[in-house]
Amino acid sequence: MKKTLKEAPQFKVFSSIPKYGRKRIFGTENEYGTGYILRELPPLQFIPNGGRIYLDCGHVEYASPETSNPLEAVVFEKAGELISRPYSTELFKNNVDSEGHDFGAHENYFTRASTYDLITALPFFVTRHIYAGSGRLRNSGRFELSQKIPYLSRITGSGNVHDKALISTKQEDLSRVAGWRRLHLTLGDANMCEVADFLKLGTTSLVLDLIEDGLLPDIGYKYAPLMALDDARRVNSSSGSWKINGTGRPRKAIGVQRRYLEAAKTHYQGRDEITDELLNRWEFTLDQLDRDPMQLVGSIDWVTKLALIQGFAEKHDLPLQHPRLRNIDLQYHDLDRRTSLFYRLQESGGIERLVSDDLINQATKLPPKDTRANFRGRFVTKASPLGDGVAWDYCVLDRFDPNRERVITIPDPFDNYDYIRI
Amino acid sequence: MAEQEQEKYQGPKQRDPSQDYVKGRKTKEIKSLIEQIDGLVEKDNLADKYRQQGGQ
Repeated sequence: MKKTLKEAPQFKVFSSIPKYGRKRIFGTENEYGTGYILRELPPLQFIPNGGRIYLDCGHVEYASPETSNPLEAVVFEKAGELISRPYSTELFKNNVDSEGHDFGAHENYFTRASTYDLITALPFFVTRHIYAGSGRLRNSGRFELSQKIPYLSRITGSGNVHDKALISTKQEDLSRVAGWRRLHLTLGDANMCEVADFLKLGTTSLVLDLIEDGLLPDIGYKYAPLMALDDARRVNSSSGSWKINGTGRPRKAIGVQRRYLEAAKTHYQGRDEITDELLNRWEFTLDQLDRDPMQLVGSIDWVTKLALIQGFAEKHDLPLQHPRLRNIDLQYHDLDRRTSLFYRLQESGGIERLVSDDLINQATKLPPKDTRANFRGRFVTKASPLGDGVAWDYCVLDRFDPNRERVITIPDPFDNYDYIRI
Repeated sequence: MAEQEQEKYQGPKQRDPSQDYVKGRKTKEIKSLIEQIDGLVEKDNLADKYRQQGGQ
């Protein structure tokens, strides 16, 4: 039967954060690339939105406050771009420089899943970059979906600098809630597109939901470390067939992602507005990747970047090895809105929005309402304007007065501690 | 953060999987995007000189 053509579905642009139907904590950390740093930052500087900004190995790094859903996590990550920008003459939200140094865009999830559980979801992590990758043009002219995937050398491991892993086992919980732990993922790219960031964080969280509920589909993937890395790299080519071999026979990455999508739809559709938006966008994105990835210009970073590079090369008759095309790759990630290609496109309406600018601007100053970051943000604003005497799980009041000093612990990230007066 | 939405969530709107999306919709948009960025793309080899200080 001939299919009827219709316009793509109208997705939502959120100007407020609806309630989320699942207990979870999210956080992101971005190490921004820069060749110069103008302003020295004190170490461990916490800020009024409950997050932290600091220098780390020459990077300006922003760690978002704890948020309670993937939509809010996107809002606070985008707020970090605005907060961090004044600290250097240039900042790039990407993951690699010209000499091949890589740096991180880390994701944190509070979960009840163990590392062993996560390995059962290996096919998800091996294929996630078909929509979460931010794209990279190599000097050879080859275009890859993900900047980080080539730097991974293990399936599991705790290394952030060396021996980086597909699934991080780093244990630094920063909280104390029985049965829960902090999952610190280091395999992902820094996203500029709000939609891609939402998909990355949201689909990963849905997979954690499936794991915790014992509902994860069995893809029949073998735990063979080298094969898994090979699969992740094979899927990383923009011109490849996106097939993985770890299932015993070649299977399409999109089909693998659909298995997780279908399981999540079966069990969580209708749960809440954010989840439904996520499921709809995930399905639409996989459909378009299957038919014509270039339809995702403006919502998926690697597609948007590739379209710019190919279009520019065609217009100016340049080979894909030309240095100006690598400039496009870098300038796409520029956080200076006067020179950023991404933000020029966003200002001209070429980037699909997920959240309003008002929400992002608020998130530069005010913390999330329903996590412990709320207390931390209040504390910084009222009692510690320089952000000292503050940590992720405690704050010290009057720390220079031995007679009045008081340590306030905030061990539970699900609690906003609004009953503690400062 | 903004106020939480007070309205009760009414459930998902289903889309008809038998229907396809309009193809070619983006072609014109991409050309427009190229025009938008054309003057911004650096002419020297900016990317090749970009080295992260203290990069790992």
